[in-house]
Amino acid sequence: LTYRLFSRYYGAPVAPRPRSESFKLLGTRGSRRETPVYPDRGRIRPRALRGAAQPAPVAGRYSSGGTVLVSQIIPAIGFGLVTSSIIALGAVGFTIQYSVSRIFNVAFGAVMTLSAYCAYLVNVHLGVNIWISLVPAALAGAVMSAAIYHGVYARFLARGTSVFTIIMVSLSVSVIVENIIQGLAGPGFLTYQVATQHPFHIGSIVWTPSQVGIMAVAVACMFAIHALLRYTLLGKAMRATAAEPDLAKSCGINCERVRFAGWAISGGLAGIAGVVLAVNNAVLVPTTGADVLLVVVAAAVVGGVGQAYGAMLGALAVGIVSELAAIVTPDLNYVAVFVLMGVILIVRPDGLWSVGALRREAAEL
Amino acid sequence: MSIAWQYFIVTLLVYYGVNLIAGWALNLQFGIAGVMNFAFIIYQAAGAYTAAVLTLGPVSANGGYQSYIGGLSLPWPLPILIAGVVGALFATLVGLFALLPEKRDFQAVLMLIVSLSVTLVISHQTGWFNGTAGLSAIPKPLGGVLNLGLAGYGWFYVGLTAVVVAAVYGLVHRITSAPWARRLKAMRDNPLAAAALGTDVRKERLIVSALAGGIAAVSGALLVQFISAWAPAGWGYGETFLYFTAIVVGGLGNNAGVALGTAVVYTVILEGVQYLPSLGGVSSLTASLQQAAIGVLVLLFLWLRPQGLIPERRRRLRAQSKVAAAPAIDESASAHSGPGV
Repeated sequence: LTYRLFSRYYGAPVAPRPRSESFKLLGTRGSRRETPVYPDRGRIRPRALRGAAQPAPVAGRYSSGGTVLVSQIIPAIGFGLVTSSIIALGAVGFTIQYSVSRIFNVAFGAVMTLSAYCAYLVNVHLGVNIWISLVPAALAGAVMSAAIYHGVYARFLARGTSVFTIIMVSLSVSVIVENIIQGLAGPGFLTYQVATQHPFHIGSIVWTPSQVGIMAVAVACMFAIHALLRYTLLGKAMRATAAEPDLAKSCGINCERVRFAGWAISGGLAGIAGVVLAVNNAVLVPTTGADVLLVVVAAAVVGGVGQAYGAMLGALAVGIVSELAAIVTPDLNYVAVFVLMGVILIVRPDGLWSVGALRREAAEL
Repeated sequence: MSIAWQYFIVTLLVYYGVNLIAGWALNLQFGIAGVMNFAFIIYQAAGAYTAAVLTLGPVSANGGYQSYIGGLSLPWPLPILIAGVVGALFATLVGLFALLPEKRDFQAVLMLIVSLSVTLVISHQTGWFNGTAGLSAIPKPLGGVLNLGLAGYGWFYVGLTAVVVAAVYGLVHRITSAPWARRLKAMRDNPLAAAALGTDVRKERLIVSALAGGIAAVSGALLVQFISAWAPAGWGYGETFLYFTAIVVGGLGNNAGVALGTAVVYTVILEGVQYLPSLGGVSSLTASLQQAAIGVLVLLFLWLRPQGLIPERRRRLRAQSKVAAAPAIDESASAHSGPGV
């Protein structure tokens, strides 16, 4: 029984396996050290896990010896653009749902993961090209996101649950979704079928065709979101709901329906972000989405919480900062992102895309 | 009782004691003072690491298979006390940075990123506390002196835990029933009004953070000496949310509620799901569904009993009792008026 007591917490020790970059964002650099992965990463765990006998990390850390070479900066910016594209998809999605409903949705990462697994089903089991699989993945994300909002959050909000408790709720949702994925798909890692690739060289920047594809998808999505917000009635209603829910309601906008639509759209973006993230990481594990959730949040915050254009700007900043920091400390590049986020929160809490935008918005509405 | 059963019960009890102490600390900070400390778990970790390096002895004494800073072999009560002091100092340090913004949701986000950054740094600085692998073989208090056998020593540790729990309860109870707690609650319900009435909100938040950090560190020190191992995987930011869940389920702002909530979340839910029927021997599926069941149970609790199992008793003046008590922690969210998309 003693064994059972502990074995169920610790699980059998797992051999380190290539996880290439699911903790980082970039899959193609190849010089990153491999991080051991624990199948139960990211779940809520009982406390006994503290200090479990974990497999030792793979020996031999890469370090750049502390010298920042100028020649590394340009390629890093190249990688940073890819990272930014992925983060931008997530951050815009996250910020849209935050702006229309004020929910800090921890389950966003789980929706990303779920869509990535849907894309895996379509891509590997039905043999569909991965770029076409983006469509069902986005649909799955949209349906899931809207269902979570309508089925859970809207109900809690309607009875006046505090926004703080909603974080607990969303954490529970995230745990449920992630563990159902893990239960069905298994804790192991999966890989999409992507055609063999010859990298492009543009100056000292190296991109694989999928990375170019990722950037194209991201740019297309950003333009689509821009068009949606600027030129459609729904977009206008979303902006109104975000800015002044009460006023919007008294102007005849059905805020609840707008929120529902906003959550579906952001779920679609989460889906696309999840798939391109897994494409770029080259592996898919049940914590793929949760691992980058806080980087996505950082981008949203750096840009200004609740502002779609700010999120795009924030993603650009976060992606490039994280890759530049990776030149110095490959393991701790996210710390640089978090430091950036902390500085922004203290110095300019409304984000980079701040006061001017709000004033313009108010004038326009 | 067989030794295995005894050990099982001992483990449950010690864990409950540790979680109780941490729950009270978090309640003091969030339930009473309204500081959304999403970095809570790192104070516990700080206490655990402190206690570990204060008892492990010099690096060479253990065969040098793990590397850490310092290395002393202090007798029992000292490591836990020093851990408390270190935790309080660490919490003050974090608080000086993370409590800078006025808005509480920004503070919460800052705390969260501090927590993540500390985890990342500790995991990768293998020279400090042995990195991801963590510290192990941490000696148990009086383990060499007492000759009690596994189960006997376990019961001894339960007694030790009980003493610490009682001491912490004494402290926490004193604080929560003191006039200072009223000031903290006023600050929680309406920081602006409290500031207008002369409370230095930032200073009070810092003090209460340091106190809670110290208590959390004591819980970490207590835990690490029982399980004799400590690694970053055990103190991810998810653990903080689990503590928040425990005190929300139990009832914010009162110590009895926290005690009940900790028991329900950590003992009934986390342990209880292990006894769900397994599914045709597919162990990974069963394990995942058990984890999912934890999520479902927490959701159910939040839905069915949003005010907590034991709601906070709110003091009201008789003349004003018609005026509804202000909703507790809500104002930071509603005061945050919306920027556009």
